[in-house]
Amino acid sequence: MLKYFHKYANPGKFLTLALPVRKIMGIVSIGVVTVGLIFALFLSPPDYQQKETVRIMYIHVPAAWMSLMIYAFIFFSSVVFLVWKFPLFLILAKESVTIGVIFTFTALLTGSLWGKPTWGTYWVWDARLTSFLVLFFIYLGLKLIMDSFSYSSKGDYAFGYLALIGGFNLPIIKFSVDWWNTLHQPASILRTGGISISSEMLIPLFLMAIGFLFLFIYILLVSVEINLKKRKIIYYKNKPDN
Amino acid sequence: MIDEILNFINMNGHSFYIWTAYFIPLTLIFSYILIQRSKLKRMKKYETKI
Repeated sequence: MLKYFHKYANPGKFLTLALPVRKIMGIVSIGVVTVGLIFALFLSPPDYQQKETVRIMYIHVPAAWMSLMIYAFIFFSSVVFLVWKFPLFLILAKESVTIGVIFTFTALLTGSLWGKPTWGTYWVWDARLTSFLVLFFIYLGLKLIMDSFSYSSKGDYAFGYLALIGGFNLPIIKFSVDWWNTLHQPASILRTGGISISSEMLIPLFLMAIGFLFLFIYILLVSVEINLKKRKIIYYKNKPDN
Repeated sequence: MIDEILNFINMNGHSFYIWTAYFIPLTLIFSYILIQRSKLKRMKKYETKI
């Protein structure tokens, strides 16, 4: 695995691999999200209890999955950066933060909008909602560190260590509904007893999740390319013969 | 036909929650994509100048 890391740690090599992937992801993600939205808003049936408000699930749950997955990716990339000092992984981690902020904000906002008609309130301080809010603040903290230090290596290590510390929140979010009594429902898809929702609802849910995943990969590759080009421009501008 | 469209928009009286839940996040995500794409274009232009 380390051999592959070394091979693609070179920005030039990484970009030659990333460019075609980015183009494919851009087209495919728009297609999958569009089909997902058609299923979510038009073709999926209303719930027998929640009626039409169940449609919020098709954006809330995939956004929440993405927030956790992006954080896990930042955590993993930070470990690789801190242990093996691959700068490309630090760039990957840093460029994922803004996307993570957007998806976490989406999960919080849509959850709140779903909560009002189903629970009768926009917000409760239960374990799942609170731990998710903490995740949002960790993302904001990472963004703050990134913007404060810009290209200093001190900032890189501060970013890496905060990403590691924040990783402890992921299992708390996942198991909060099992460990504590929460208003938020327990897991209905990623659970030991198998999936407990109807297949008509699973199709838009998975389509939106896959669409969001592809969108994440697309935005990440665009952002990494911007970052690498910015570094190249700064390097050439600061060259003594310029 | 118009009644069906109006019923769909009304979402059984929950239109505010459902449409806001879709509109704000999708606007945010696609605006961010547009911003990043235009940044990349600018970088490419600047890079060729150097």
